Amino acid sequence: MKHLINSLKKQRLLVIAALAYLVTAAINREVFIQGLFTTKDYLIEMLEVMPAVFVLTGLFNFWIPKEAVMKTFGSSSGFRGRLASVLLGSVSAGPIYAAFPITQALLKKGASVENVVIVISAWAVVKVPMILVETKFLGLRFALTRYGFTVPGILLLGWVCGKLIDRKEIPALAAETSSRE
Amino acid sequence: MVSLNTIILIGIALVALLISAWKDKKKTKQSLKMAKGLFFKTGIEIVGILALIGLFLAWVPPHIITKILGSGSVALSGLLGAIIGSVTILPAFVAFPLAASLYQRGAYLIAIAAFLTTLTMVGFATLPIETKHFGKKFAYIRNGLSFGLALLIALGMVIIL
Repeated sequence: MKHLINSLKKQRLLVIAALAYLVTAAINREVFIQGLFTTKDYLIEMLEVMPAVFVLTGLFNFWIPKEAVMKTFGSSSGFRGRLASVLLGSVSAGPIYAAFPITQALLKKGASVENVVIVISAWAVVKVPMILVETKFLGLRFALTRYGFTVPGILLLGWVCGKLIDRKEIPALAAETSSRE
Repeated sequence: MVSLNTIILIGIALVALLISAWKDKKKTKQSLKMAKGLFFKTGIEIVGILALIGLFLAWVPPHIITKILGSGSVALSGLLGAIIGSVTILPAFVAFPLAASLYQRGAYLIAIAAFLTTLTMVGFATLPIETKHFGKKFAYIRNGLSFGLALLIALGMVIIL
């Protein structure tokens, strides 16, 4: 029983989702079915992207030396580090949650908080295919203006986050250094 | 509809995996073991969140979002755009047509710009996953500042366009 409660606690989100669907099914069957269809589309998107992201995270973890990450994305990587971060974020695929495993691995290997925030944000916003779709629907002027503001904005965001957040305040990082060194 | 980026990503992962297996079987095995662990740990959590967003959008479909964004004052619609963008996750191929239809119906530019920017950068729904990877402080600061940034970007766009 205790074991069951513990595993339910661990899967809190899944339990909440299941309950929400049950309630919805009782109130409005149409909404329930629509919800399932939308979720199916999201799951397909997730299954297309996540296995590749996880495999790359694993390979990155065992193959890429710490020194290389520190040199490219570390706190003394300067302007080139920021540029590399924007590039890494913008060539990658998938929704924002796909960015977390790989950026956490980067951080553990010595990337700065500033650059990690830049990678996550660029991952979410700066995408060539997305610029094309945006241009098609809202016009080139709209798209270019938005990106013209967004890219410097992301750099500023990274800088501020780097100032506000200390590496030691990130739990995954604290656990790592204490268990291995 | 698999995007080109996704195909390239899968291609890179496959090539990297082959090179790794060719060079060092043991390291490759360890990497795959880690990938499997991530898939079950993080993957299940993501499924829960996606299911909740799917349900949210079933209760509040895009055409209602359109209605909300096209009404009220300029400032209010900008703020609403930013909030709605923060709590929802929409794939780009749904978000941009939605934004375009808003634009044609005369919704405020500030609302559309704020909506599009928070939609991608701020993840209220993915906050639990972000917290798990980087801790509360990191997740809250990054999302909070991104929200403010989105409003600034929207404001800047209104001034320029």
